[in-house]
Amino acid sequence: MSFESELRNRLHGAARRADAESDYYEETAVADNVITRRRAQRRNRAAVLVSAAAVLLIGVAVPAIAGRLPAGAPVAGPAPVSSAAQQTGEPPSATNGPEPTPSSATSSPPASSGARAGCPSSGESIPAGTNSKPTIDVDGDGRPDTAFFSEQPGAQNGFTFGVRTASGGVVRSSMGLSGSPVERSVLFADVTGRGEVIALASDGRQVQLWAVSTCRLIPVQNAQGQQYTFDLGYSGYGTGVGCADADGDGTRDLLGLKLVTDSGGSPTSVERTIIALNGPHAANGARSIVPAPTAAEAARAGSITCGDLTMAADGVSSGH
Amino acid sequence: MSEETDESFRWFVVAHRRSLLRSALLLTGDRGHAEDLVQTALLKSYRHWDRISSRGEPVAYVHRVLVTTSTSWWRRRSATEQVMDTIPDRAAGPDQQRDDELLQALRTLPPRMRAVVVLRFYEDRSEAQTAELLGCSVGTVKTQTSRAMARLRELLSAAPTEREAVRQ
Repeated sequence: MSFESELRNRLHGAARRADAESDYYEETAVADNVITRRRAQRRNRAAVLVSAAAVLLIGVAVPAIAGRLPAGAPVAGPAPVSSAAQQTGEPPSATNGPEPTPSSATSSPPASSGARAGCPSSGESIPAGTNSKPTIDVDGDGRPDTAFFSEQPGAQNGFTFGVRTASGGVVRSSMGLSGSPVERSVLFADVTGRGEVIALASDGRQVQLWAVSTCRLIPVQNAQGQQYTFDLGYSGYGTGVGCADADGDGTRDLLGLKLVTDSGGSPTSVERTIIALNGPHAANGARSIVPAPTAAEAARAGSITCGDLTMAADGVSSGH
Repeated sequence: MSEETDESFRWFVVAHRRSLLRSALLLTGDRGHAEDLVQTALLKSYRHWDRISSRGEPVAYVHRVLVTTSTSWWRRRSATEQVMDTIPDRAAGPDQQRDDELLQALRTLPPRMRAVVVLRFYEDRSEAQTAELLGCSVGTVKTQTSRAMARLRELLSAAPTEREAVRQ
């Protein structure tokens, strides 16, 4: 192996091994930190401009006024002024005090501090008659949330599903109507166990992939720009969805599963395709084959699961 | 910034911060400095996020900011502080030891030469792309690459694990 190739391999290896502990919550916390810092910088700049303008005004106005006073009258010196509020003579208060400095604004919780604030309460409640069920902690506040699924006959998007968080927020979206006669259902799951929350919404023929981010349900797109869907045996691409560490890197992967059977219908293998999740995008990754699957593996390849969660036991359905 | 801009920025960070962090680690040779560098590059980029994202190439832009920030940063920081060594936070296995040797060897290179190594051999950029990113000629990239290879070959072949491997 040439030195250049060896160097290339070592650079990639060192970089890969160094960031194994990064997680979804950490990334969003970093983004929020950047946004907060930028806002604080802008506020500070505005405050400095206002102060500078005020000082300038005093510098011009006071001598001008002093020039009009009769000789011997006391003249106020240019007092140090630090805020527009003081210019108006108002007492300093909590609301018109100095702007936060960047350092105070960046003192948000450390990136890996665990629980975050839940989704803000919207005052919405789950409509009466809607099917609901306790689900995983979707918003990262450390408290379990409630998944719901409702059918709205006659509406353009006939099925609404989502989560009401323990903090009172509601995250919802809708599924279009398809010809599938079976009930719709949704399963919320944390793929990696580190806050990479997805929703698998099924109409019995296929499963739509959604991502939950910053209190929103976002359709995950494939390379062609369409919503990523898993086949449930109707198009020949797959038969189920699962989550397992397929590449042995210690982190659970989202998997598209396909149960292969012989002519007599007996399972011969399970094809597993890693779905590489990348924010609102997903792409098919490495594929592996599990030969001679056990009965449990075969059953799993024909269903919608993620780790210990199953659509049948943990999902919520439209229930018709 | 609008809510949409913030959301788009959040997605970008979720999707790409890890890859930025990897490049930053090789550029700085230190995890702490790498995190600071990425944070700074993101902050610089967020200021113009509407424009950057509307052009459709935010990844290339932020990587460019990362590299240029690292070289200018180093100039400023080298007068006051330098990473001499890092304290291992866990027992070092063979991979860890080799990684440490590599990072230490990279740290001995001047910042622009290090950037050339990272861009050419980690990010697999062409000489022309590297030259454009660093604002220098292709000839300079070739010279820097050749010198960096010679230096790294010397340093890494002298490293203990390499010597042990040769003995075996």
